Amino acid sequence: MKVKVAFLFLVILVMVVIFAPIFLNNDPFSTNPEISLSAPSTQHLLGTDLFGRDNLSRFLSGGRTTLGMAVLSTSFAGVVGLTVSFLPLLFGKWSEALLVIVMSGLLAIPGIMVALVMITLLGQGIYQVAFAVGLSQIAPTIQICRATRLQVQASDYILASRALGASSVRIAFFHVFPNMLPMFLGYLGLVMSYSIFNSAALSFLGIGVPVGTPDWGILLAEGRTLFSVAPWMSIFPGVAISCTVLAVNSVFDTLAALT
Amino acid sequence: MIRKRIIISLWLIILVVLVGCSSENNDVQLNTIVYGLTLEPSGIDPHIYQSAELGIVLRSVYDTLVYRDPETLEIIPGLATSWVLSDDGLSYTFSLREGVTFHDGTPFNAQAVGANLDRIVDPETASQRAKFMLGPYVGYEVIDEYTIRIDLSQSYIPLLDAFSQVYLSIASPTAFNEYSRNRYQFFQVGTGPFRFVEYVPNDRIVIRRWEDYTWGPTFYDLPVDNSVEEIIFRFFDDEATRLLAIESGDVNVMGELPPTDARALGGNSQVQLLPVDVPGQPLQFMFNTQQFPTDNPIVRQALIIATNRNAIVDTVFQGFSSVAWGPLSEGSLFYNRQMVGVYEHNAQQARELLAAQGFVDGDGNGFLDAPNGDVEIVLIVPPWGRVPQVVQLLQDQWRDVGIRVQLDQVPNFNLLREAVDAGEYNLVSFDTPGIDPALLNDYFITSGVRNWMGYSNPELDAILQEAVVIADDSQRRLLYLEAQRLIMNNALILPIREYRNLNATDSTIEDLQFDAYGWFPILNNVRLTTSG
Amino acid sequence: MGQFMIRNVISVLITLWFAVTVTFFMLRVLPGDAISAQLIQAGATEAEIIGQRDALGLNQPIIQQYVDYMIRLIQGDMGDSLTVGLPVRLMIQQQISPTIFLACTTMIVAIIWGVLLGIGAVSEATFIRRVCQLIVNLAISTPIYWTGTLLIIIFAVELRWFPITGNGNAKSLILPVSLLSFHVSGAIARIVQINLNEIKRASYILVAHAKGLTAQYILYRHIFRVALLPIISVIALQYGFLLSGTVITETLFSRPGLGSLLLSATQNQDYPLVQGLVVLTATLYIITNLIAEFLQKIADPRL
Repeated sequence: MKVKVAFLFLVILVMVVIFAPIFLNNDPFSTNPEISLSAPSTQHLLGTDLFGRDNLSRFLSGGRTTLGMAVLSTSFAGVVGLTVSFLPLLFGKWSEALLVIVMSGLLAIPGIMVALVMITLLGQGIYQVAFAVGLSQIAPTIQICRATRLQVQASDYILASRALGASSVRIAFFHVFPNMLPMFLGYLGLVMSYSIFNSAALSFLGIGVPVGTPDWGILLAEGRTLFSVAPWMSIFPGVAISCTVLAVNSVFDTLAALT
Repeated sequence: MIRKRIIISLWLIILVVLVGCSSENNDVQLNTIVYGLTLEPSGIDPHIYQSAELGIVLRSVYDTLVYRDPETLEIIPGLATSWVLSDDGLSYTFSLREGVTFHDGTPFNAQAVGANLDRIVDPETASQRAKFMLGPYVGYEVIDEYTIRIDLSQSYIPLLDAFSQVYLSIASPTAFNEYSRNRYQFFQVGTGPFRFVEYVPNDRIVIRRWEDYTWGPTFYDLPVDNSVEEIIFRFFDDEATRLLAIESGDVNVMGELPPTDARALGGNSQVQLLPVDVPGQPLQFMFNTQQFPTDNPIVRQALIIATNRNAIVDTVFQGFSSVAWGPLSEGSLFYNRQMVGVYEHNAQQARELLAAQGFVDGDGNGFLDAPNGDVEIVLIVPPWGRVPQVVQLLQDQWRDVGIRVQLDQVPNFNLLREAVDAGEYNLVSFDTPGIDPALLNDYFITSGVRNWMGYSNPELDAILQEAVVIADDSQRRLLYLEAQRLIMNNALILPIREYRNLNATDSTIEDLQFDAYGWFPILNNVRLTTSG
Repeated sequence: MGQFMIRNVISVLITLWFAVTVTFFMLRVLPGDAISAQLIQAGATEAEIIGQRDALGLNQPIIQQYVDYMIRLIQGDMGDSLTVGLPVRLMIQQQISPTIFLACTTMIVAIIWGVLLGIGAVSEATFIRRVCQLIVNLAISTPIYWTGTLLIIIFAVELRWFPITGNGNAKSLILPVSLLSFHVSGAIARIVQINLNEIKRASYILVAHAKGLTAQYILYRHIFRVALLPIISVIALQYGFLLSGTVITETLFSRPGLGSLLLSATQNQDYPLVQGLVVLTATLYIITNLIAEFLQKIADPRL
């Protein structure tokens, strides 16, 4: 029941974020100092920001940025993490030891530092931030994937097919890999919510996506500094981030349980 | 076995909690205030570093040879009681005050001043600001115990202005010789009304009143019972907490409030807003005159005209600052009032100017066409001075006249320099505060270290170079008025707003004044309200 | 036991070496450094900059710098900060106690809260279950700087119960600890909840029920003991979150500490300081994990 609600929420969210900007009259970039920081009204349902830009259209196109970046960095971390954790199956024992060293070494480096260095290096931009956030999630993803793989490898089913003489490559691709997927998918939900959080945290520290980009993290950070004059500004992006994270977690959990 | 371990760990936890809870206590009851700064961990040695924040603290730890009267802006005696400029303008002779000692007991005399000068110009010191303020300094000669002569290679009138600034503070030679270049900043010793107690980067700076101080400049009051005796400076990087910290009583004074918060303060009777003008260059963008399309002066003029500075001041600065029209703010010496109103906002005129230069929107995509694609302006955006907010309005205002704006955000000065050196920009934001317009030389002389406009104009060079040599104020005025006119005629900069620091004090603070430079509080005169 | 120790020491050292090496080369990819920035600001000439960089060994081939750095590191010398000029070790010493204290207090509070919330979220009483579930959901889904701002506005500005800043006294710790532990406890509670739910369905608990044992007894005697394992591992996992959480908490509450030091050091490209901080955080991370592993062995001798 709850999952259905979460799933429905995500579907509606994605639809709204993709299609709503087409129907909106207000340009998310158009400034109008005359109506700076006006409260919600019929013309501007969520009010306007410091520069008189329409909060609703910024919120909706911000959804595109935020969700798009989350999908990008999650897939990046997911693909790399899964692939790397899978390699020892093909290359044998020494690569397992190597993987453990690389993995624990990377885990020990603070993710926030990795993201900071990457953004300083690449400059502030949507793709750069998505990359930096994804990069900092790779080590934990490898860790989870490897733990899952070990669990699967130890299962009776795999031991049985090994006993039956199946080649290790065959076991890897046809038996271990499919069985790793459920837990992996469940974990992806977590990576995705971390990605949303972390890019928002980078915006808070002033090194996230470029200024002026509509993005929930930036909107929330901006709203926070204007809390004393315009408390309504931060409510929608804040609630949207919370609901999205909850819904993503819930849906991916169920997905993991189903497969 | 297990139980034993658990008990031990429980004990450890309790121990940690107890140790942490034991709070530090002061034996003596001092009149203490907490002052909120925006300083992030960095160096605070005035001879080495250049931040304005370090001066907020150290202005009261050190004295300078001369002071600037906050009312009249005249140069008045400090550690030097009088001074004589030689007829050829090549040497200044300072007569020093007698009976002054540093906080560590070292006597103040001509040798001490000399040692300070040696330290400032020493290449090992790698001074970021102080060294350059000395201009064409070549050396000094100690005439007697209390007389020193400073020699220059050419006449340099702004030298007295330099000696009135915190960066040329006179520090105890005993102290800075005892510690290395980097360590001295933690053990600073001056002659000022407060002595330096400690600096913990990231956490606090503490200064305490020096009871034996009797040699202050005329505008320093004598201490009374409720004068402030101890000041703890704390750092607030996150601007959203600054207002909250003063409202919650965490700090008594807060500098650099965000303008929207200062606006919201109107209803709070407990907290007073204290806006202070900061003279010098306004918040400005420099045009790169070597890069298409800002190599065209008409395009530069069109961009200034396309900028609605009133809108920027009203929103980003909430009307607290005034619009800037030229390369100097109103509070600076020799400010050219005739610049007011030049290049007033007029989007239609900007469009016409651009069209007359052949920039039209042929493909109808809303942006003017360049030989390859659209006309695009690249802005280097540093994080300070609310530039990130200003550029969001600029972006939309210029879009209105068909100019596409590309933002190049840089997180620190280092990467700003990298971006400038790469040369792929049209505008970059940077400016310097100060009273004497000699600060323009770094920017607008061909060889200036901050000539990021890539601009060269022999006429302007000659004027600016002459203006630091001539002693006569009325002649200097004429030269600087002309320099300001030339700069704007050639549309070298886009001035945005005059600086105004928004400070706030709570009801415990009485008489917080700022010195002539606007940034630095006169902490000596601060008193606590006597209600309690 | 001895073999366990030796194996651990070796793996710890290799992990540390790898973390330090990756950081070293990652930072060297960045253009410029704090020293050049300072000198450029000082208007130094190209030759002066090269001279100063030479003196600091920054112009040597990168491999040479790396070898030098590792040799000095083994001797316990982490070099001097490029921005403030102090020895890195001293700077870390100055800032470590507030952070360690914040982190430890947070962990203790978060474990207590997390376990209670997790148990509450599987409670038979609908009301308690719903309230606990709501708190857990909020804790894992709201950005920390947002809840932090609300906390400051309510408890420091409006009610004036606690100060925002301050270091050393217990009262100034209450808000930052509440904030961090609220978010950490969400993750712990979620794991506790999932495990309790699984164990409740497990066959041996059904047997215990059938034997007529009271619900309380079952919960404490069996469920809790088994649920302890995953909790210990999630505590180790939360370390990373705790670190990035401290960066934000320290910024929000203007507290000194390693988090804000790491942030400014990275932004200022102060290589030696960043490297020193990575050595420290990596060591702490490894120790946390070892302790967690050790505790797991105690809690479940089968491992």
